[in-house]
Amino acid sequence: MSDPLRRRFLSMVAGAAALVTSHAGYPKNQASKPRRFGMVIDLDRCVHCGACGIACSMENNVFPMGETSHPHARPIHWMDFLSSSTEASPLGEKPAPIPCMHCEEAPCVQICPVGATYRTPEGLVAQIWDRCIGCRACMVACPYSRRYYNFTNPTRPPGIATSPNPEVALRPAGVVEKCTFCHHRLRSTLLRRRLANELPRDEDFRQLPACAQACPAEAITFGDLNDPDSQVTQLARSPRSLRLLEHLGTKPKVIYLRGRA
Amino acid sequence: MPSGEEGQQRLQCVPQVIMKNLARREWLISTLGAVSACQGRRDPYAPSTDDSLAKSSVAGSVSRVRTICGACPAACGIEVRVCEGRARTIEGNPKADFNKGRVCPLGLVGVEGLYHPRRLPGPMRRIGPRGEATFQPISWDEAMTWLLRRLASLRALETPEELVLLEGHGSLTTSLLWSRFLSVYGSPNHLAMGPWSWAALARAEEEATRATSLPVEALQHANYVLAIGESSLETGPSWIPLVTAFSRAHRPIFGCASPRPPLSGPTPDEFFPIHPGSGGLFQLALAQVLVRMGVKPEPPIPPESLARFAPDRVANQIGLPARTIEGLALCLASQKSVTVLPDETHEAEFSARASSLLRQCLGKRTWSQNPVRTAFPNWPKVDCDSVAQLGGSKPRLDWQSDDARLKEGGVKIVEALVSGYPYKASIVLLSGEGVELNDEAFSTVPTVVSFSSFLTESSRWADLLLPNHHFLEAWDIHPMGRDVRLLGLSRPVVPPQNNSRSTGDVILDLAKGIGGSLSHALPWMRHEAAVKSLFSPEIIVKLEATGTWTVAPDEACLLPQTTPNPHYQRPQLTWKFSGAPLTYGTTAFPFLLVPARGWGDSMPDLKWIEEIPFTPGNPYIARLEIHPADAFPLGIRNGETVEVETPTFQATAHAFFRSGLRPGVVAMNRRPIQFSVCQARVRRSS
Repeated sequence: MSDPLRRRFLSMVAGAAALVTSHAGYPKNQASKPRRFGMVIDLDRCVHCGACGIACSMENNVFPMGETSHPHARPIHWMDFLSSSTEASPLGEKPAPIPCMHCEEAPCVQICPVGATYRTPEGLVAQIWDRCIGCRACMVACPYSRRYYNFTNPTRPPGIATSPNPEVALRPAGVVEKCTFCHHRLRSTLLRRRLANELPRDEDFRQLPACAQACPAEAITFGDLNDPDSQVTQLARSPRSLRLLEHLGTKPKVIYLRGRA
Repeated sequence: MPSGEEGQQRLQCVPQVIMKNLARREWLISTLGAVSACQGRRDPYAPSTDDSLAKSSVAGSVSRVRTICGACPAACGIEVRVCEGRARTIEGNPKADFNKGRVCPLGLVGVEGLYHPRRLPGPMRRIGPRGEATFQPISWDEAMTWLLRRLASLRALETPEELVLLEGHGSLTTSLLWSRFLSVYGSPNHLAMGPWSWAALARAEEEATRATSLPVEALQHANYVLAIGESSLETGPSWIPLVTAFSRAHRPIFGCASPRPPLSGPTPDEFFPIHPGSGGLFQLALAQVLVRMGVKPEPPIPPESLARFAPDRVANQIGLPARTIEGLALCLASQKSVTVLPDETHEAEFSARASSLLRQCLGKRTWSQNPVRTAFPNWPKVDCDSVAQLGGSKPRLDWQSDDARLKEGGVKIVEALVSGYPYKASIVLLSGEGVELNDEAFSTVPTVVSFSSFLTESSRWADLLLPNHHFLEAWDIHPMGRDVRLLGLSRPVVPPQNNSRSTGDVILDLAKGIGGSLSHALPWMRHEAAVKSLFSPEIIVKLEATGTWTVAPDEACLLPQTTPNPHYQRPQLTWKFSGAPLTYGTTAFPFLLVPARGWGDSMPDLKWIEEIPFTPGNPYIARLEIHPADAFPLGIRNGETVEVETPTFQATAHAFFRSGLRPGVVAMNRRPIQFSVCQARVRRSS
């Protein structure tokens, strides 16, 4: 082995050793207790402004549909709003934000024939855009209608030449898409903490998704439902909490708070 | 195209060829000369060479710039993510004490406004008939010469009062520069056309309380928030502190007096379905009860001034029983702290002043305290010449005029422009957003100049368009939420995208062009310099580092302040209101149609904001809000398609039942048809 090669080999070995050492020093995660991310939306605080929907669309490159589009298309809103004509409905009369419920027993995961939709170890219902074949079975299976099919390729609003967020891939025509709980932000936060050799804290997650960050009323809280001390867990225990279509057994991880007179 | 090798060879040859014919010293001298020549000929309005802007355009670069949102006058602190020289997204600045990282939908889509294809490309001059929006691009030099000639001729004729500025909401420093310009030019007509414009609030609040702040700080401690009109709750500039107050564990009681309950924003606990157009009268009736009952030992206004607004006398006009008005007045009087938010109407100053008077009658701000008022801005005084003194002594064209005929009926800018009484307006300048006049008023004015960045309903009547910068391209300083203890610096995040020019720069150029006392009054070369002259260099350095700065009590000495004025006297207010509220229509048009505003109504054609599923600003789906009791006799069901017909237009809309709506009133979004309150009839679509 020549000298330059030897030096390169040694440096690689040293680097690998350093990496292993650093990981050895990394505080042990609660391996026996995997994270289970969820969201709490306080409807008593919500002012129905739509900031969460706009922030979500801009963060995840969900472009407005505009006036001309495919006749069967409906506008895509990862964070949509559910209005009801009666105050007696579970979420009230005013438009309530509804993201993907990230169900623990997600029908969309079970029905996807190609495994494009799957559950991550953190409990998120994720999707690999490139693997989706556009069969739309997941759209039929989702009881919350939280999945959208791209009838066309993404079209930016006039004047917006580039994607607002280069960290999120665009979804082509023929692909189903939905809310990811801003998975890219989650991964980036976890990685940053890991590189700093620290455990992630609850404060890192509370306003992590774009919708939670933008909410002017601080009505949206995100966090680890398996962490008993996290704010989201404490809010989820509130007597005001409710889950949409709970009787279907999907175990949604988006919990609503409603009940103030 | 040369091949890769050829190109490289040529590149290598260039310095050798140059060096072959020139000595090293000569080459250096010529290079320096060329550089200095370029510097000398540099366009003063060329994009800034600020390092931060240059670095942000490097491939792969990502930066976050802290600045101030300019979408509304509240001026929240924001962080703009800039990738490769393009602004991408806007988030709240968590270090800004005013909004604490929160930002409203209008601020979130600021980037879309920056790169909007409908932004005017540069200065333009009208070439077709008035109002048909046919314009031709011209250079800035041509545009300035055109305007300067007209301004100079007014001064030469000694009629400077015929220059009228209609100001909507916009940049604070631009408003200050306009104020200084007009006072030295000789025009008293710095008129406010938006309820949140600086001029309206400054006058109303200053007259009543000697303070120019919004009722924002009062929100933090308010027990009762009374919004006149639903727009304050839906989209008002105090919106972020309003939402903060609403989402508190122990929130204040929210009341709203409007013909239409708000669809978004804080949900009111108490709703008073008043008659459209009677918000000001409603406040005066509340004030009358408070004064009559002696809530304050020293009432801010003589009781006889308000006698004609007694609830039993105006109940029919307001559309509420007198007992309800008296009950609310007593309820307000029993609260520890009350905040009244004025309505968003054309009657900007009237509404703001009525709210201000009501706050005074509630005694939450006293007249006798005579608070220390911050001298803002800290600009030296300038003497006016004889022409300016003569023009400045003329009555204003709005209701604040001393002229009894003008004063009688509230704000009468439109009537004054049309009738030419007490004098005609020769040049009307439209500055800021939200300036609206009717076609009749525009057609009577010989010269209209707009400073809007977009072609709006008003600017299409202009003879000259001088597009202003977007707030992400401009310099400005804002007291956030109008509180001088919270300062925010707005600075260019990206270079100017179009051939626009800051209105502040235009004002400075006009002053220099006219010369004389105007050039002394506005000595700054650029708007940036005027902005930075407002405060000491220490404060500017702080602001440039952090974007926002909360002035601590021990740092208050850094702010320019004046001492309390011992000679300050309470102004004598006389309130006259002769305008009758709008009446419900005839059998042909039985309904009163009011505009349902929303985030989409605030700025045109922002797709992200327009497509919020429930927003009234959606341009594709007209939605008619109607009371179920009005709909059933007509056979209309919720969600059905209906035809809306008014004396001026027809539209198709989807019926949307709202039980909180005042019966006899229907509301519709203003897009794509622009309209104000009018009579209408509704029928089921065939």
